[in-house]
Amino acid sequence: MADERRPEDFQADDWSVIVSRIQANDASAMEDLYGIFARGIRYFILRNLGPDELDDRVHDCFILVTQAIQNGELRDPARLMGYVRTVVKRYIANTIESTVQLRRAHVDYEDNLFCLSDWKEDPERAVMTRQRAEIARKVMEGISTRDREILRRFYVEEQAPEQICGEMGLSFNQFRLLKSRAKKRFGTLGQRVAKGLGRKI
Amino acid sequence: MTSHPSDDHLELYTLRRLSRPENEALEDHLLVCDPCRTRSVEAADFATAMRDALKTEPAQMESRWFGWLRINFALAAAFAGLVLAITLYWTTGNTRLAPVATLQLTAMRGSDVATAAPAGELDITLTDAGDASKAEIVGSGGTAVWSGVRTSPIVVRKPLRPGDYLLRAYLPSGQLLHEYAFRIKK
Repeated sequence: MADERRPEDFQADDWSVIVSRIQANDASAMEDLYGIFARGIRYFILRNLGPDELDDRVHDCFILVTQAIQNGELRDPARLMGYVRTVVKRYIANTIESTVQLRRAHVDYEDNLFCLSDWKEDPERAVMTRQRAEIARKVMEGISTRDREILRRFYVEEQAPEQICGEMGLSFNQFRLLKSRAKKRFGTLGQRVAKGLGRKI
Repeated sequence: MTSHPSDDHLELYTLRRLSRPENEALEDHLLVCDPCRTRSVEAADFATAMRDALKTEPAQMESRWFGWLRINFALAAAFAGLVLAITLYWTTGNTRLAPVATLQLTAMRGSDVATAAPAGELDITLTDAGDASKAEIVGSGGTAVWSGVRTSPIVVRKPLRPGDYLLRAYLPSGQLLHEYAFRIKK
C-alpha cells in the first residue's frame, strides 16, 4: 500500500526502509519513491533546463536514482534526499554540457547558425516575464524614491540587508515590511492582470 | 519534520545568494515539499521581476546625513571623470571607443540580451555565478576571444568588436555552470 505521509514528514529511518525495499526489488517501493521525488525532480529540471522533454528527463533521473540504489551506490540510506539532489544536479550539468558541445559543433561548422534565440524561452513565457516586469514597474510607481533605492540595493546591487539598513538608516523590520508591501502589491496587480487576460500569471 | 524555509530565505535562494551548504539544505527540502516549491516559484517571480524593473532605474544618491557633502563629492568625481576622459581621448587618439563599459549578466531564460557599447575595457558582473572560478568568452564563430580567472567583476582589458558573444562560467572542477549571451553594439 502506498505511503500516504507527506514527504516532508519523512525521517531518516523512513528513507532506510524505502532503500531496503528498492534493493529487494519491491515494485511498490519504486512507486513510493516516484511519488516522493518526481515533483521535486521536475521542479529542478524545469528551473534549470526549461520545459523541453521534461517528462523524459524526470524519468531519466528517476532511473539513475533507482539504479544507483539497486547497485548499492547509496552508502548511507538516511542521506537519500542529498543523493537524489546530487544525481539531479549532475544530470542537469551533463545536459547543459552536452547542449553546449552540440552548439559548438554547429557553430564551428556554420557561422550563420549562431542565433541568440537559442537562449530564449518560448514566446508565451517571454511575454509573461515581460508582464511581470511591467507589474513590478507599476509597483514601484507607488513607492517613494528612497524606498526604491532600498529595493534597488537589495535586488540589483545584491547588498545584504544589514548593510542596507545600516547605510539607509532603517531597522530590519522596516526593511522586511517594505519588501512585504511591495510583494503584496505585486500579487494584487498580478491577479488583476491575470483576471483581465483570463489566465494565471 | 524538516523545517520549512522563511520567505526571506526562499527569496535569497531564488536570487542565488545563499551559501553552498544553505543551498544544499534548502534544495533537499524543496525536493520533497510541494508547498515550499510553490512558494519558491512565487518568490522567484517577484524577485526577478523586481530586479529586472529596478535595473532600468538610475542609482539614487541617498543619505540621511551630510547630503550636501555627497553632492560635492559627486561633482568632484564627475569633473575628475571628465578630465580623465579628455586625457584618454588625446592619448589614445580613438574618438569612438569609451574607456570602460559595464555589463551585468544573469543566466535567466527569457531575459533580453544585455548589450554594451564598444570600449577599451569591459567590466562584467555575473549576478548568479556562485562558485564559478573560471570564465571564457567566445565570439559568434565559436572562437575563444578571452579567458581568465572569474573575478567580481570580470575585467576584460581588450576591446571586443561589435557582435554577439557568449560568456561561459566554469566551476573549479571544470564543469560548465552557466552561459550568458551578450552583445557589443556597433
